[in-house]
Amino acid sequence: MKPTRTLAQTLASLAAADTANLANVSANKIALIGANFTPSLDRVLADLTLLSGNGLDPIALTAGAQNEGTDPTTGEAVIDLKEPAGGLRWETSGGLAVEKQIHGYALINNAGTVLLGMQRVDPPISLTVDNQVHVAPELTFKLDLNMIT
Amino acid sequence: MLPTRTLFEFWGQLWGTTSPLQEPEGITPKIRLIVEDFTPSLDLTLASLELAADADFQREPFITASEDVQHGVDPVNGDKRIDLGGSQDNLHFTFDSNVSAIGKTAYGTALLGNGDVLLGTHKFAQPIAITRTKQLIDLVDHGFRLPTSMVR
Repeated sequence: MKPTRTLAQTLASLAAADTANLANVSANKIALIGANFTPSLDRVLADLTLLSGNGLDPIALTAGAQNEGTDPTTGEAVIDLKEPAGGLRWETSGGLAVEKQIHGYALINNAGTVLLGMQRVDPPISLTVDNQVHVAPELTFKLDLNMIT
Repeated sequence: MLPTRTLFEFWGQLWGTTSPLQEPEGITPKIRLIVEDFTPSLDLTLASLELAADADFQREPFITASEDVQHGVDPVNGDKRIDLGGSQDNLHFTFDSNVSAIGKTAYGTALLGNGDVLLGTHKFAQPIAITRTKQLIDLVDHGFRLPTSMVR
């Protein structure tokens, strides 16, 4: 059955406001993924190597309902994750001695125990010394509502 | 960003079990026949559809009940399924058609929520001509399918 746009859009609005996941009162976090991976619905946290230390720790998003709307170009429903004050910005520090690579971003819960989503960075970004900065692009879920049947 | 399967399936569950697809007890979404050709689209409106009239049938055709919305995963392709109607009786319904319905052609169905708000449409693979009274139209497997490929 093809839903109306109004009904279909509620899929995104409900997801964005779902306190069990995206709108958790304990802010979810974005972690940097430090080893190659293939995004998959069936990926679990244990499959991924998350970076930490040297300024590369996960950064908490803004807690509560996330932003939601429609992409005016594609018509897709968009849930854009609310960046914290200061943005999703990492800066190497503390005497980075070994090259680290950013292969992607992982959306994890506040406790760092549950993987909610992932996005690949291709090609990976190498960090080799202190004071190197990486700012994540806007991180979104996009839902093609036309594909609901 | 790609969600995990657990999260994607939860979104589908949330959608299927929340208003307007699932309303409080006593508010029953209805499925009505569409008797003029149409093209399913997200942007269809109720005004653009011709529905079978109440008078065409001895009892109003509806199948879904608030407690009957079910959800699950298609074992073949992983689609999240929202299934309307929960019992065998509800999944089949007989149009006890009156004389006024004879001669009409059913092209599909419209799902109407609280206040007769259009929620969705389904087009039959083949139009069904109503040629007699008590004509059976089978609505097995009526609902929504959310393919995992819809999210990125």
